[in-house]
Amino acid sequence: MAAVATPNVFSGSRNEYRVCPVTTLKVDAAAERLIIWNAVTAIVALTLGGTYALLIGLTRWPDVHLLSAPWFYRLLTAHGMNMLVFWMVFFEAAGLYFGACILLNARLVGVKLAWVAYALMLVGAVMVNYIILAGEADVMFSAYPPLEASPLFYIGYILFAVGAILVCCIFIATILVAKKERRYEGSMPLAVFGLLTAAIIALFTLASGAIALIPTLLWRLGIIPAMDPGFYRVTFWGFGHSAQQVNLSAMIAIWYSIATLTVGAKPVNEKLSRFAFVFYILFINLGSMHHLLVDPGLASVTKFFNTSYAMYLAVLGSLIHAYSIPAAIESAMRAKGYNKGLFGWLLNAPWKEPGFVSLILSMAIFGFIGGPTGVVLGAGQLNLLAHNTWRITGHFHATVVGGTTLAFMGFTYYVIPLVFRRPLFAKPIVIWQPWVYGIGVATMSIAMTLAGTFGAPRRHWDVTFTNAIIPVQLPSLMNLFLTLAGIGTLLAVTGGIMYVVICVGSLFMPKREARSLSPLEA
Amino acid sequence: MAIFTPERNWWKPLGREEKLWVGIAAVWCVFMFFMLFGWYYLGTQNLPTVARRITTAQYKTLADAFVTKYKVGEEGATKVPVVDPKGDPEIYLVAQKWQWTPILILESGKKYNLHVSSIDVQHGFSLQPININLQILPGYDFIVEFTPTTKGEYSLICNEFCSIGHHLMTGRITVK
Amino acid sequence: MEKKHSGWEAPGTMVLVFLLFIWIAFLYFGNWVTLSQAWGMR
Ligand code: HEM
Ligand SMILES: [Cu+2]
Ligand SMILES: [Cu+2]
Repeated sequence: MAAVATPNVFSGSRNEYRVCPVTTLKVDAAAERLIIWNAVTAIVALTLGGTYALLIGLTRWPDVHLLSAPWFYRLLTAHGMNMLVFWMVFFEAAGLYFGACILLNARLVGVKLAWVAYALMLVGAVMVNYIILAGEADVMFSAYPPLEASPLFYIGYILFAVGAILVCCIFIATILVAKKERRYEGSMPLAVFGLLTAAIIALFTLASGAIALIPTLLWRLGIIPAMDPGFYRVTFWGFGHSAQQVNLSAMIAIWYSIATLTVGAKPVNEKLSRFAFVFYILFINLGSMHHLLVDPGLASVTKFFNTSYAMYLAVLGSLIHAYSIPAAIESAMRAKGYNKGLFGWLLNAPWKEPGFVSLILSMAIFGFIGGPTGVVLGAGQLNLLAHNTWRITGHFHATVVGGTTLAFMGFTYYVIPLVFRRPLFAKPIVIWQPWVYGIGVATMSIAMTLAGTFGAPRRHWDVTFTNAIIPVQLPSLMNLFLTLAGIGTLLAVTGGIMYVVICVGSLFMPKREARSLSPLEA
Repeated sequence: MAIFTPERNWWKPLGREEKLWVGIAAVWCVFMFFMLFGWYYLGTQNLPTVARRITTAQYKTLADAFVTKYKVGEEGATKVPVVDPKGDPEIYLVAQKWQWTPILILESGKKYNLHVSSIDVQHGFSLQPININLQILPGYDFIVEFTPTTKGEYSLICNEFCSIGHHLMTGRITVK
Repeated sequence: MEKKHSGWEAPGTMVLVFLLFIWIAFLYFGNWVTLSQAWGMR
């Protein structure tokens, strides 16, 4: 924790600092504004996506079947984009600025460019939202050609991606400059290392996205005659899947951070944890191929080698974190004297801290549902039984929704007092938020998975096939799980609303310096 | 202290527990990797691997010829053709907004090369209730070599979003 | 129990990850069993 007061070598005027009274970290004011704007925009995207989640969730509940077919598909497209792309990436942008500037005591390099990046992302997101709601892009977030969306949809997508690339570059530049200016001593903190992993993966991810989307845009503009759907799928998932590894790395960085903030955990072995991150960088992009396991035109060996992430080395990385984080918590708790039995440390952990509850639930949902279902789905012959069924939706609602989103939510409760410098709103409900949301998402994911094993297709408005020419009857047990998913939806959305109410309410709380690390006391 | 710079000398050997867990995890990963190939031989069902490029027009011609040759009836309001290939192993299925054509009648225990392709957007071949799923692209003739083992009626649904009538897309394969 | 558990740094975690391992293996093999209803694709 070296707060070195180095003179500002480059541009002194722009960078003002304050020193956080709780953590004694120096906070660059320019970075702080960017963190606030990106985080707030992320929450707006989450609110939109969550509203659509409720509507599509209630449509897939057979007894409710709320929306008409066109609006179901339209809002499903909007849900995917707002959640998976806009909420995640805006929040990650805030996280990257936080990691580079606050945790490294550094100054943000290229403040203007960072605002340009924000503007590009915002314009892209607004365009995409508008064009979807206008009914000009009913194509899902994957936008597989030859399905046609308005060119503005792809332009918005690309603008957003360009903004995100800029954010990653600024983040990396900030770290390099911080190193050069000796803003921090020795190695960078593990959390920043994890974020750096995320940024590096993001760069090749976004490049792959550009290779998929730019020719598609050209095709829609009539400049090139056709877009090969197979080529698109390979490059699109090079973006769409690797982006999930960006989310994964960011989430794990946040897991380590929350563990430190709540119980003072220290990684049991820095070297091991860092290696696990390096495994992600090296192997994770191969995993994109598991989206293509039952596609025509790819050889089995290609599929197998790639989907195994080169001998499951990326899985090994995750298994390492799965040990390393709880072990860090356990050691820290034992060091505090909670030594009773095997699990005394866990029972006596700070269960009254919303961040801690988010951390544990996020790790449990990701670790016990999201990750293992992914490993199963990634085996070729099993994928044949699951591809495009609701099992897939169940899997990723346990990873990116129950895992990443919940971790991000928990982290917000620290960002609000420390960065926004406002006390949390509605403190009594804060502690319940992770429980309601986590249990809701877990219920929904498990129900989706089970419905999928009975054949329930994803992205589907009517599993009774009422108006189809050839009637089809899916097993009636499936309906039970569809209903259960609907109930999970209600719970999860309630948790989501609680989160948004807490965040938005906090924005209107009187500004004051944090008094404690614990968000409930700050 | 994951959010603070680590102590100077963090390059330390793994402790006993880390070694044990990393060992178990690594063995499991390597096991799963080799089993990817292992299942290929142990399992009774594998991913189809044969595909060739074809234009949508060419594919439609082939499929239409197949339907005309073996058509035995029609079904439903739009008169979906019912086809019994009578022992011809080369059979064709067309994915098109929003119908699987034709309805196929197959013999159990007989080996078939099922050609599946789309003549418009991407579709999802989803055979129920056994839940076998394939991604169908226009421009790629996916050739699925298989032997139906159990008699009965199998429904086809579409599980890739194929625009607004996606949920109307069904079909059937009967194994007799 | 005063001292560390028989020299283990994090015995509780060790149990937890072991359960995780069993669970993954269970899902993995359990899913392969469902394949017995195959359609004879080769
Ligand atoms: C309150 C929480 C949420 C609920 C109730 C919910 C519900 C749903 C439902 C019902 C579907 C439709 C599945 C289908 O018909 O195939 C869906 C799809 C999806 N959701 Fe969520 N969701 C929630 C939160 C999230 C979050 C936080 C994310 C991302 C971070 C997310 C990402 C997605 C994606 C990517 C899809 C797939 C869209 C597609 O198939 O194109 N969801 N969600
Ligand atoms: Cu279709
Ligand atoms: Cu469809």
